[in-house]
Amino acid sequence: MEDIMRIGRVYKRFKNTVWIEVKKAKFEKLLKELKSFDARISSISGYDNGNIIEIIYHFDVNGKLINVKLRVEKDVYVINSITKLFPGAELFERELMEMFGIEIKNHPDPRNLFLDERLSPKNPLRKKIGDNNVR
Amino acid sequence: MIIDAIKIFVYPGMIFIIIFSLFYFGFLRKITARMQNRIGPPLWQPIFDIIKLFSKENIIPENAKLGFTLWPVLSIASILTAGLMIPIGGDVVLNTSGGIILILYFFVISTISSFLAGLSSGNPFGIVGGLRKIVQLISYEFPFIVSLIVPALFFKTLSPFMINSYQIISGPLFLLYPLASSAFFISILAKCEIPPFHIPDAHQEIVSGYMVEYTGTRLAYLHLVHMVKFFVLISLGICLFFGGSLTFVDFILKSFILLVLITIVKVVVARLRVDQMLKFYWFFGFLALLDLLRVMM
Amino acid sequence: MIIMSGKSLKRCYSLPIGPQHPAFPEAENLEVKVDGETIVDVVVNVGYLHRGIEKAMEERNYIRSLYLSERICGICNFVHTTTYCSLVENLLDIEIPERAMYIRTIALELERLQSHMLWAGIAGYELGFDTLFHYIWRDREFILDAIELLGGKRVNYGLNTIGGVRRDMSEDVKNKIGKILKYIEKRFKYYIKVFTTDITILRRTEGIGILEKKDAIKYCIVGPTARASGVDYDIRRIDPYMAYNMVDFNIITDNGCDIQARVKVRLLEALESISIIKQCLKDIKKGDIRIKVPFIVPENEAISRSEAPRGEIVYYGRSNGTDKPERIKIRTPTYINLLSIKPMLVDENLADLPIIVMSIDPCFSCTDRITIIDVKSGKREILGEQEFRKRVDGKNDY
Repeated sequence: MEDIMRIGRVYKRFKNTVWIEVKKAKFEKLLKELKSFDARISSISGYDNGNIIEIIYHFDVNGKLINVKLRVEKDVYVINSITKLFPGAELFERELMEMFGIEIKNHPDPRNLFLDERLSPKNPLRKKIGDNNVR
Repeated sequence: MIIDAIKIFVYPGMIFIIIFSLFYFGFLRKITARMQNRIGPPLWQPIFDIIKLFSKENIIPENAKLGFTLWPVLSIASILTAGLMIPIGGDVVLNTSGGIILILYFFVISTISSFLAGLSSGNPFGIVGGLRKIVQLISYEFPFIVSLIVPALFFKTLSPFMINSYQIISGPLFLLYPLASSAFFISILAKCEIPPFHIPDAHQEIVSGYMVEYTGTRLAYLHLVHMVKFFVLISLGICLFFGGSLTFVDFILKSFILLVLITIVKVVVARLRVDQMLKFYWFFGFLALLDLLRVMM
Repeated sequence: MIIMSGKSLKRCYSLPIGPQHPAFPEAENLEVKVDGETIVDVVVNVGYLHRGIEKAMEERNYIRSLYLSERICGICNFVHTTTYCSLVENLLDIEIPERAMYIRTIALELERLQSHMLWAGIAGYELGFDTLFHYIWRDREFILDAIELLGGKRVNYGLNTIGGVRRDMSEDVKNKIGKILKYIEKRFKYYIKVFTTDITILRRTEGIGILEKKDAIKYCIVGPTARASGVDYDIRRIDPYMAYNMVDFNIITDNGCDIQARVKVRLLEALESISIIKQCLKDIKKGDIRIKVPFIVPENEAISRSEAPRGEIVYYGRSNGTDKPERIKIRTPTYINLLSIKPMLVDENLADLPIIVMSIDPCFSCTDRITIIDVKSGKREILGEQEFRKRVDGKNDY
């Protein structure tokens, strides 16, 4: 478990949760370590703070929540899908793609999950001028 | 002449049959509801339903084919004619010597008219519903026909009025031929799509299937067919198997007992799967055949 | 557009058919590829009731977002508010008083009871037992009475608030709930007997809709669906919240992997819920029911989880020093359980599709539409739920 902590940088611990920040280059290694501990993907959240998009993968390892944060610059959106190691992440990545406009390579089914192709607005969870909290 | 007209139209003719079938259907719904721990609609709810339907707008869809109006009318007319041939309380309107066969024909005409009504609606679901009705007809006609032949052969007459009189004298037939009687009972359930033979989950009592494009008066006729069929089958059962009816009170009593029996079966059983249902029909058909062979000996 | 396949006529007709009865199970849009009667492939499409709640929460302050989260689901609304409140309490790093924890636990378990009864009634209805459906829903009314005594309303009771609960539980309410539970326990034991010994039900549920344990683990399935495949995972045991580490209860698992196992797991879980509520009613002590929280939440990020009747609910949240949340992400259990539909349906009979999809206890509220694609002829049909049922049962006639 401590090896996982060393690959990324632990920036917060709270009750039963651990928050790790990791760089894109080391992400695959971290995934393999988590897989070896029989982690289960619980959710994938996205957050746009104006300049970069943060993708947080919430893994559950025997009840302990390991949250892995990946920072994606707005020019370089392409990341790899984790469905090869964690097939349960399929739907979460689809939502991420349609809500934030991130491109995910090697996804088995890259369609929109919730939004309609013709009628809904594009990338609604991205921050736009005029949104609340956009400074 | 006037007495004949009263007989045909009022008692024991069409108005009596229609009003009583509405009431019986109301009783069916009320008893079902009470057994399911609900309160259920008032007894005259079907009357309100039919009156309401008569007051609704009549819409003919663009895709409707020839006969859109004809088939519902034919359906209700044929089932009422079949009802007129069955003695109620010792009194019959149309006393024919070939009654049983005519009744059989009128039942089939009614079902085929419903099927054609579904076909003429121009809606694929109407067509599917109509097709299903025909398929069911082919499946459950076998026990029905066989069970009809048994009393005819036993009493050596085809007239329901004579069979009724003989039964009053000789006693109910179901004691002698229980297998044929149960086949007839099963076919009542099957013809009126009462559980366990209600295959389509969407209750057939609510608008669906072949009735899907109908509104207003025509829909009222189709609903009436459903309810009148129930009543006519019960009265046919009493006339052929369950002891006949000497007086009106006699008839009411016996038909009520049959109604309660059918309701109990309806509430207590689950839905059979289609393959199980077919096996059921044919099983009872063959049981009735055994009785038929006994009669012929 | 409908193009009837095979023997029926070809006609193009658009059919707007939606849910007609509040008790009809909600179904998502499934594209089912069939080969004759056997299902070959399933593609799940959702999104018919996407309301943009996560975006809406960013524009409302924390209290208004609380009431928004309550309206995400009608059946499991208390779990949503509890998880939301836990999230904000984690963001603020405060502990709620013990009495509030107990009251929340009692309401959570009452909700689990009510949800499992709803599901059991619908399952009975799907199997053709109209009467069983009416009986179970009649008994469910007693649970809703208990919930109304506690919260003030049967659904969407605004019992939760950030920092505790809003209404206290009086002694009178405690006694009444105890009496209702005694009656419900008897009824549940009777329903368990019906569901596990009735021949018709067994024939329609045993060996159907199998989800193997390795598939359940691979697709990260949660809730009773996973527990019925032998995966021993329950947030109440592994990551206890509220008063769950102060009461004794069993986690029900079953190795059957079929629909019958899911039925058993849910009904036995309901019995466990009754025992949890009884313990809570006994152990609850006097005290405060809420503490005051500041309006402004400092910058922080947190996550909170709960075990809803259908599985695990995860709320991830971020605050930014104002009184409005910066980002809240909600992941409901049916979201992930969608992935279990495909392994369950492949190689099963088309006629069993309604009961199999129902057995994962879906909670969408979409228009129900199912698309059937016949692989041999390549024809597609879109049917509403009623027509699908007729079609499915009618197909076996020919």
